[in-house]
Amino acid sequence: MKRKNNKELLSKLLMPIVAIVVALVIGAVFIGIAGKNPIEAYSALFRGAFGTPVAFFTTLGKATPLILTGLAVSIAFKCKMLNIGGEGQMLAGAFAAAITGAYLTGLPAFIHIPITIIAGMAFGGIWAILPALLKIKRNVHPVISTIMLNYVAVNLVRFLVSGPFKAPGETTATLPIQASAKLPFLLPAPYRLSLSFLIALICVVVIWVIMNKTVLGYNIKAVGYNEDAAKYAGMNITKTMLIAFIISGALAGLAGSMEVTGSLGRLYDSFSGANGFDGIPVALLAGCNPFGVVLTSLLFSALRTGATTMQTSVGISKDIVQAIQGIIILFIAAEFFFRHKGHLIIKNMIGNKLKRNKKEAA
Amino acid sequence: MKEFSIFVLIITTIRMATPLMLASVGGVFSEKAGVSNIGIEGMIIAGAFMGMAGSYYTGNPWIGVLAAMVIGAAMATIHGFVSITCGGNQSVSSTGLILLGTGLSAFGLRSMFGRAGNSDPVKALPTTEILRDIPVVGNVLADFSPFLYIAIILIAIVYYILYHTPLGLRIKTVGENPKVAETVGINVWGIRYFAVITSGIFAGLAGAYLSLGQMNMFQEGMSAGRGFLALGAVIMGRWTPHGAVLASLFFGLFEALQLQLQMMPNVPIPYELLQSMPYIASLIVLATAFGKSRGPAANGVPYLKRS
Repeated sequence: MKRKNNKELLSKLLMPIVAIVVALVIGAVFIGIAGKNPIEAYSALFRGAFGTPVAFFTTLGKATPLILTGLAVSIAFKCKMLNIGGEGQMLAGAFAAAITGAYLTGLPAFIHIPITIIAGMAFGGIWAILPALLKIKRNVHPVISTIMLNYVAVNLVRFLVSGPFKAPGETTATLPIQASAKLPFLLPAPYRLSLSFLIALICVVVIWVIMNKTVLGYNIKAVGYNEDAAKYAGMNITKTMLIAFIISGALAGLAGSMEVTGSLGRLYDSFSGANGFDGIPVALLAGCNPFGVVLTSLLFSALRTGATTMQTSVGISKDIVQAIQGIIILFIAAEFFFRHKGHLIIKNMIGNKLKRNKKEAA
Repeated sequence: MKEFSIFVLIITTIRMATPLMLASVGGVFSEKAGVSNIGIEGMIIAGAFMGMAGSYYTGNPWIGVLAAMVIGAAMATIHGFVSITCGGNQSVSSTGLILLGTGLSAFGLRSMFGRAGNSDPVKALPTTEILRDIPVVGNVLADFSPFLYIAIILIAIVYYILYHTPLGLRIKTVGENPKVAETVGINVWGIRYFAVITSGIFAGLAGAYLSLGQMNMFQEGMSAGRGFLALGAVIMGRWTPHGAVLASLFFGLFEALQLQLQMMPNVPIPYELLQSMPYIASLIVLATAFGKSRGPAANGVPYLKRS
């Protein structure tokens, strides 16, 4: 029994590892084409991500929003909905936290911080309701509606930050949040690891419990696995999808809110919710497993952190990392083939040959 | 251009709609055969980059157009391999292509010019001089990019194929019921590859329009969600080429409105909100009357061959 589990785990890990290695090799080819030494580039990348304690904790810190957006994508994808709207939901959450963090005064930290967190999650969740409803009521592909809402969110937040909520002064940003809304550091400067990292890890456990130990999680997986069967079993498909999507949005909103309260301190007009999109490769590479999400977040965060060093010291554009992520995803999408169909096709080829041989013999 | 002009609005609408028409009609073609190509966005940005690069290295913008078509076709082939041959999730594969297209074009930009943001200006194809001598309307027609005329011709061909040829019937059968299609001897995978690669070429052209028709350089993020708007246009147009063209003009109208309002003094609507108008309009349309339309039955569903 245990042996079987080990074997299963190994086969689960194999594909992601193959995907990462092949993607890095293809990345190396592009680096080579650009006339740089790939080994030099990758070692700079590794140094930048793990070379010093500060680098290591930067990698952890940058993994925080990825863990949350990765969880967000995971839970929706278990319900067969791809939430590409993490960017908009993150922005909504960041805005909510920036406003509640700056304009509520005189609160003790243990009340003020939870308020910013709840506000962020609520705004993120609300921003996800519309695409969920469009999917349920009108069968509009959530990929399209969430993307549209991303662009709306980007423009809306830019407007709010540069207009009605702009703090006086040169920078285009909201008022700095109150001291009582700031998330404390787990590790102080120079490491600067925020409490947000711990909160993200708690979310991992919570989502794992929801997915594996609750009726809701069972329903989500059932709807994702076979919508018709779930319907016949008497499950409320609409409600399950809606809840899964709202949780997804709330997690992305939390990611945005803690970017403001844990590191930025205010919302700038240049705030990017790009981490919302990055949650997709993170979740898919992890097979939508919450604990796997932690590992893949660390991987992508390391790539990201290290890429900056690679760019400055070797002169390789850090955007290559994005391309590498794309290749990883393509491999994951093709996984079914490698796992289930590769040998089938070979079998078919042999079978056809046998048939042909028989025919020829006859 | 301080005053609101209907004439300018119409011209700008057509200009803004050109890349959407190309991308969305390509999308219709692909979805008719049952492959949803959400990765169009990635193919547009890659096409825009390759268009610029082709023109930059050869000095001939038409080589750039060709390069854009090739990269679109190549990315669509990858999408085809993953989602047709491997039976992978088409949304996931498309997401990979979007990351790949965005990442590689930004990487390429920095490798070529040593900076982010935008490329050097290159030789572009902004006007169609052949039409200049036509009486009365010649000047107006010639001011449009040749891409517009290429688009019109290609869209007419797609329309003809879909509705007046046996190939079109095969494509639609494959998209509605691949099992039946295979039973009657249609090569399901072949048709799907053909359709998705066509949509990739169209998306590549749409990208080339951005860098060589509308502008004369490549800018990071210049696709600006047009691939997704195009997919919205596919749905709004109820999976028909003519519907997609109309929907593209609709989006184009909003983009044109936004551009014209931006240039006018004392417009009470802030610039950022004007910019989100096409997206909001599309959401409203998707949420109301048009949303209920039904796409090809087997769209987005991988088909695993029996033999």
